[in-house]
Amino acid sequence: MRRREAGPAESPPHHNPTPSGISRRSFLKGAGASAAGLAAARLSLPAVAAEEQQSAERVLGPDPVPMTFHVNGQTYTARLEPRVTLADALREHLDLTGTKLICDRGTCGGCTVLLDTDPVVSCMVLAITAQGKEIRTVEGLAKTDDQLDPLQEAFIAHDALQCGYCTPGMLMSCCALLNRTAKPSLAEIKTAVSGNLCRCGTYPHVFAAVLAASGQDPNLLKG
Amino acid sequence: MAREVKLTIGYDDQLTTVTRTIPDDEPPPWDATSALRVVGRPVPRVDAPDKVTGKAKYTRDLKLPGMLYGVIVRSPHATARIREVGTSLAEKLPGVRAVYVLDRTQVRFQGHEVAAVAADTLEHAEDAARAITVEYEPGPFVVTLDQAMREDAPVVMPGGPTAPGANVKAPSGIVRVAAAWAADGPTQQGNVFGPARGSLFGKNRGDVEQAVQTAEAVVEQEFYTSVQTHSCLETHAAIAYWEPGNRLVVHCGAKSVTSTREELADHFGLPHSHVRVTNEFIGGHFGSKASSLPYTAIAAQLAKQAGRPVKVALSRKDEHLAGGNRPLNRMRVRLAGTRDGVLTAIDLVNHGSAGVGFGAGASGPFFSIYDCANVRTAEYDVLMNTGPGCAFRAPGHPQGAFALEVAIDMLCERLGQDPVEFRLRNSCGRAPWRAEELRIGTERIGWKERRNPTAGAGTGPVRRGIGVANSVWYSVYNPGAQVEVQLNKDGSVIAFTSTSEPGAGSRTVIAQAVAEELGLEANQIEVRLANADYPYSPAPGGSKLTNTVTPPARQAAYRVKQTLLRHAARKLDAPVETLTLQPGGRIVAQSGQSLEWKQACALLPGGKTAALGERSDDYGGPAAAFPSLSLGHELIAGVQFAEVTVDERLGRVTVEKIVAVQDCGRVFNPLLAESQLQGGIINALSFGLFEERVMDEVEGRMLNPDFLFYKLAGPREMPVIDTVFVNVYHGQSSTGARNLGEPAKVATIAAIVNAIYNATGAWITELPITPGRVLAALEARDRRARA
Repeated sequence: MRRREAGPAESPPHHNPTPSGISRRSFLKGAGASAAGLAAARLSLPAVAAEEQQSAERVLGPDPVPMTFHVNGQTYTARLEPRVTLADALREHLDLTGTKLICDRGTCGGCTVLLDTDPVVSCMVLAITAQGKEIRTVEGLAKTDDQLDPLQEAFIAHDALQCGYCTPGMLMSCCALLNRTAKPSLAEIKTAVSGNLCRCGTYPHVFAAVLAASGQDPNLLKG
Repeated sequence: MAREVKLTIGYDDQLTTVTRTIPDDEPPPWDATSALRVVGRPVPRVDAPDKVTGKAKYTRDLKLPGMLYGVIVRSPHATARIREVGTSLAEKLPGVRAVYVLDRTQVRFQGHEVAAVAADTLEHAEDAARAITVEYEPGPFVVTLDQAMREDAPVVMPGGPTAPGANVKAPSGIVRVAAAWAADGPTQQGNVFGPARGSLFGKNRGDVEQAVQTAEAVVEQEFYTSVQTHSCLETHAAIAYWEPGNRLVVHCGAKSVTSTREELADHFGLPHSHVRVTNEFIGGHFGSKASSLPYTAIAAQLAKQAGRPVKVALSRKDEHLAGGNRPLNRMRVRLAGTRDGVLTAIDLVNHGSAGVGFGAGASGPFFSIYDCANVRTAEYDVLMNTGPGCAFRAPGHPQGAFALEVAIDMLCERLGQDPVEFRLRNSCGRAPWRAEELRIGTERIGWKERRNPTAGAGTGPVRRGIGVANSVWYSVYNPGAQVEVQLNKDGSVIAFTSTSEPGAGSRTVIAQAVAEELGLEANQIEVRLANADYPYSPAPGGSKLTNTVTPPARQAAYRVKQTLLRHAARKLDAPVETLTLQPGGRIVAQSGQSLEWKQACALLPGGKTAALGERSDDYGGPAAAFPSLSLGHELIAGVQFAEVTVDERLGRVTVEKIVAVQDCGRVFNPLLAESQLQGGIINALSFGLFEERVMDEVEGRMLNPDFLFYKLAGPREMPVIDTVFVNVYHGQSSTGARNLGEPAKVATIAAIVNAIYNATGAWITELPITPGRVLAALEARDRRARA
């Protein structure tokens, strides 16, 4: 129930499968996305929840519940409110701040992580639904501190980053691409990162880095 | 104390030798003949490993023990009196530790701050913020230029944003000076202030009316540009806490740690020495984040009340509303010329609005690009009930260059002149290397072979065209900026200075300058930035960073090198002036005896030595000097060419290719420079084609404060971008670096619009170039053809 101010009712589907049936969006809808619903919910969250607790067989929250996550090969446990998104869980509760929260609406790709093998925007995933899945974040890309992933090396060599704030999301989208396509075309690269916004304007260098990381000639870009 | 040096300056094969007087304690300046090892090379960004591994900690990423989350309650109204703020409900909610109501009885724009809360989780803080009840008395407002300029319009602020009690932080720095309405004494009529008849970048000259009367062709056209928000991916953020003894510590997302320290010290009545301000990484600024107010002061206030650290980070919506923006402009341009291709008059009337702020000037390009003898500008700031504008990558220049450079092509059309030839004739006086840039660009875009000889000459629904435009920027730098270099006995090197790293590569260029001087590699230099306790260097802005900080970085390295050589000379028993420092850091005497870098550093008494370098003024003196800011004599020139296709059925414009030829003095790092140039072009393309703050005239609210309906250019919109740099050596500082980030953004939109004309025969005069505007322009073209 974060930030209920008027926003778009629906966004176009980003690369974001709904993993378990509960997405943040359906959760929001269920909580009453109409103005009247919002007004009613505004000051009486605990009351509404208590009422639901009586009528539903198994209701989680609003109080924190225990959760277990598998992130980058490690297991984490935390007590979180069910409304907490995966992006916030990673950043605020698991101290994995490599994942960036930028638009909080699934429109910029900054919070992209891999759920099993799929890239998802983690601000649109409730943390509670990511349990039992392998979560991979930018912190899990490098094998060790001294041994970066070839994609990371290519980002450095081609200066595919400026302020660096979109970089983790870009990397995860590109990582997912290279996992499914060994030698992507320029068009495939553009499509893979089409949901990732960069305000510094590093896109051409991102394309070059992915071409180089997949053993192709970055000069393909020059047309 | 000064000495004379002979320097080779110029560009390409246009080189000459000059004698410059330089301060005695500066190293011999690098000139066109210097063979450099690290500077001028494509050195990877030194902090890139932190950024690709997620280790880089931005302000929004920091979490301190016991830290609370602060949320600001903001006005939903464009203007309102505040009758009452009720906090009792919020105070009782779970986790709430502090509630603060700002001392404010009037809000003047949607997003204006009213109150704030701090709680143990972000969710609890947001719950509490929603539970604060504010009783507003909404008033009449204006949120568009037309509304604001009506004779009976409600007045946004009597006396303007600088009047006592206005309660709005006016934009400062270069953008403020750019409008400079105060120069002629501000006159206020309703919401309209002005006119200003000159700025930092130039003054009116000649006699425009006389020139217009004797001209053989005159064009007059109105242009409009929409508000562009900075949309930094990291929103404004700050963490504040208090230490015993009433000392304030702030991790700030603002780019200027020094002015943040001043602002907070003044706000809380503390000595500057009691405020510590730092940051590590900044997720973009583009001109915003100059001020830390009010969000940082709110974080500090909440922290004071709660006795714990408080983080305040703006939401995306709040960032759009209150995080700054590029002012909108309505510019009426009149140009005159003669049949033999001479531009004889430039006339501009500009009404711009930075919302509740001043600084909507756009006249820079009108003064600076063309050699024209007669230039007249009159600029007005118009107040509206929208968030204050602030500096944004080349303040006023993308707008001004759009209007001017498109009007130039209109004049060329009228005069039967080729746009490149016309620019060669009229825009190369103050920057002769622009002619070289135009020649290079003409070749690479295929101007002669591929441009339609007649606009709109193609057939079929998809038309292709090519256009050109000039850019201009200035050698802005801060004399007095300092860098300290510390050398340690293990051979490690640290450079300290207070500027920050928002993405342009501050750390890398400082490391390069120091490494070059010490015979080391850039990645051997640790660069520590963005701490208000370090020696002063300005926040990035005006594209001045490399220009400003590489000379003092080099000078500081030169000084520690002298100290090291003195100790080595004693050890090697050789006169110090006979020692050479070789690449790799080895010190060699004429006898052949030598010391490795680490052996020499181990000789340092006490285990370390440090020295301070300081940016002197340009050797030839500044063209203009302001407190702590100077403008060099030489302009920074660039040209851009665009190739577009226009689908006339859909009104859809696709930018296929941009060729950019740019000067930035000595190119310090071609890899990072290419990133900067591409970034400026892409930001301009985004501004030109997509970005538009849409205000609801009835409700007074922004309709698209998000990234779904506020469109930024994405990967699919990327053209092929071909960048070429022309090194221009001015011999004005010890490194010869000039400015780049802003000039990159100035020419792109005009080049695109001129290409659209070449493709279709239709002129675009309003931004952004949406399909609707393209279709309207095509219809106007067809009407003209029928008439």
